[in-house]
Amino acid sequence: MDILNGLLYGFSIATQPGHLALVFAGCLLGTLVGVLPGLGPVAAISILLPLTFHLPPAGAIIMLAGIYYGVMYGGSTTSILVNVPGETASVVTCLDGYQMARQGRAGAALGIAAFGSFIAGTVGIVGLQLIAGPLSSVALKFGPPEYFAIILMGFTFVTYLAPGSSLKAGIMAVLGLILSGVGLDPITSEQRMTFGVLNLFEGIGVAPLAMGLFGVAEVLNRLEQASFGRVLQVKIRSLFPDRKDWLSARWAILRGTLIGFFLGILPGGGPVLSTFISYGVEKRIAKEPERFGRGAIEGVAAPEAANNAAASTSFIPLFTLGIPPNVVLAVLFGAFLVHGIQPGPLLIRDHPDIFWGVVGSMYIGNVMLLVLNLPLIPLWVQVLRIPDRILYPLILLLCVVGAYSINNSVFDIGVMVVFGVVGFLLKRGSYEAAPLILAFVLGPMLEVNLRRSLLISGGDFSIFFTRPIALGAMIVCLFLLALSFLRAKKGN
Amino acid sequence: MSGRIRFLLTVAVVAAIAMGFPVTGPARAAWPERPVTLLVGFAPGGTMDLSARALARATEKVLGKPVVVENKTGGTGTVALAALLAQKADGYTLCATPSSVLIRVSQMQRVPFKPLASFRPILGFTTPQLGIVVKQDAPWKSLAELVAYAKKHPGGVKYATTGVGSTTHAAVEELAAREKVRMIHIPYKGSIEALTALLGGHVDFASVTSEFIPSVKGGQARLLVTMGEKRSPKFPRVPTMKEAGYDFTNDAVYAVVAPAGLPPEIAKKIEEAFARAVRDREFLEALDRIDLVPVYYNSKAFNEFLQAQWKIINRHLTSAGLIRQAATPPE
Repeated sequence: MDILNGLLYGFSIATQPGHLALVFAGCLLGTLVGVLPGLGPVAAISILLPLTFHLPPAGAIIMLAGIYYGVMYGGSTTSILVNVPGETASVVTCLDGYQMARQGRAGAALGIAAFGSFIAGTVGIVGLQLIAGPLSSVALKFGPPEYFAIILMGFTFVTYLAPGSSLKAGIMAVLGLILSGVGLDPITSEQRMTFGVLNLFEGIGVAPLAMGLFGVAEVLNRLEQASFGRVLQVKIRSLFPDRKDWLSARWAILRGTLIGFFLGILPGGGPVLSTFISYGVEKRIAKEPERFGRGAIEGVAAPEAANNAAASTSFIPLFTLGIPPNVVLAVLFGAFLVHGIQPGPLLIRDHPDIFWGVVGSMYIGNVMLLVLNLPLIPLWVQVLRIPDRILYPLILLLCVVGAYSINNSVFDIGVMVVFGVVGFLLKRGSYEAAPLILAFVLGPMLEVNLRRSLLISGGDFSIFFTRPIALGAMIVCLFLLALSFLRAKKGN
Repeated sequence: MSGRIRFLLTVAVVAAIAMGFPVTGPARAAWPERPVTLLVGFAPGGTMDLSARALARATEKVLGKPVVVENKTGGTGTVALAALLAQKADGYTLCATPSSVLIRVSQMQRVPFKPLASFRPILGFTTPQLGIVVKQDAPWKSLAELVAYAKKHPGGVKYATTGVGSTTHAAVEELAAREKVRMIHIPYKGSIEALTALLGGHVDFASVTSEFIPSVKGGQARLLVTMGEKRSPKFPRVPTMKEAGYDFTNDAVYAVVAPAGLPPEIAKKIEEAFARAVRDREFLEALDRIDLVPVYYNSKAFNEFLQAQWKIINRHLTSAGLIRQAATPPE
């Protein structure tokens, strides 16, 4: 089936009334999940998976995919209006989005996020449809040394590009790395930093950690503020960014799209990493980097574009190789299998209805999200405009229930509370929690790929400098490190 | 916005959120009152994961309550078992595991539980198909050719398995010990990861479970040998490890275990539910798709199997010189 016929076939599947309703349901749920802090796509898809058991496979996958990319739209709303990331892929959107909202430009921020998401998401689907096969064979060429070098590059980017002191960001990344080492050794099962506590054998959960550092810490932070006011009161005049906004954001959207596009395909990349990197790139190449963190529209447009492009293209390795490139798609992968479909090289041939149906539904879903969400933003705003005395206990309640429900574990609530206090103290010392979380998530991947690389090379570190892709990533790392030393010297 | 509307909105939001979470309460004899979590120690998409998911679906039909599969990978499946022990022994958290994690892995590595005492077996339900695969463009057409090459290039052949001490690793160790070849072991967290490394050209061969089927049928990989007692009906031309001259057959059984302190009346209910689930037609079809052979051990039979296996494997590992004594005490 050629691409045009495939696409028409896909639309014919996606526009069946039942499937249209499922696209709509997926997008709406995804947006709500994105808006609500503390509840991310992984938890949401896991909770909703049992509901799809009675649907035909194409419908089930169409709806669950809708949740995934819907989240990418919804997350920005909370970031911009409350300065709490609705979910992890919107962490960096807080930095400039919230500042824009404080300057009375919430409408422009929300609008550019939505339009940027739409453009990037659509470009991502075109890519998914056209180059699924050829591009994933490139990703397959990445072995342990390449993974290690690229993750290390991610670490370096995150510390170099973090707002404020690079040293502090580096400390946070190292702390995240150390925390990710808690639990059983991933290869030999030796205990590490568990102090014999059974609950720590499987390591610290990323959800309680993130909810603590972002949710609880934020609530504590607000309590400290003298005025017990409401969540940012904004008047949203127009959701359509004006000409000037477009002029300053258009290239940012394009760059964000490209970065998200490629990081989405890369196993271990995905939406979250792409937002950090695209934000960093924008800040790097800006004429006045000091605007970032103070309401630069590029700082909203680029990461929001990046996470949507990445959400679309992350389906490429799943559909063509059967490899879920990130944790959300790993859950979605489970959904395929529950429905008796083996994602892999034969998926497009054996199940064209799934592949083309999902592609078609993603085009429709992106239009739905744009058309529905812009008018619905006032509704989400109302959800978020609940007074502090109700909203903050509510966020706490959500975090507690969320942390508990993942493993039915009271211990996880304890982890969340501890890191809530830690996060609060870190914030007072102007240490950012974002590099910590990223390092925490990437830490285990960094470790196993380092160890596998050294097994391959027989303990020889030159393996990271003799393979072109790894070498390239290493050079970028060293370059960034050198730059940040120079910058620190200049600062003194 | 008036106070009342705001209040109503708040109530609506709280209600909407509350509905999203499973209602949980203290464990009572009326098991199951809420969803049951089935932990899996290997990555999604692997045979352990796929068969556990199929079993979970079949068990749901029996129970009328969701059985949610949760992957906790790492430490060759030991992380999930440790995670199980961190949960209450109330029957709401169970773990699907290959018997080899309790037997082989626990003897090769010091694990944070007592393999024969910390768990209560529920049932053994299937046995996986294992095989050695190479890339389609690799020069080796048979296991003998691969071994001959490895002998000529000591330390030059890299292979991927599903983890240190796993059955897939043990098969290669057996071969290496017999032929006295030195090869480099790169452990992965599951067969899909190991196969990806193979297809990407990062290792020379992979010893994995039947996740190789799509790659072999899709013409990207070549299956050199399988490890069952008999040839796989899906690949009748491929010899077994025994036929190739090595004394190795896969002895792992996929099982479900609970923490040892499970109250007997709940254990009985769980065992009955799973015993009915393994007869489900869709479950059996799902196993067949991934070349798994259904078997059935009840709690008692599986416990006896584990006790016996521990001794057999221990003798095997010590006589092969792989270990001096079991790294973990069994009880």
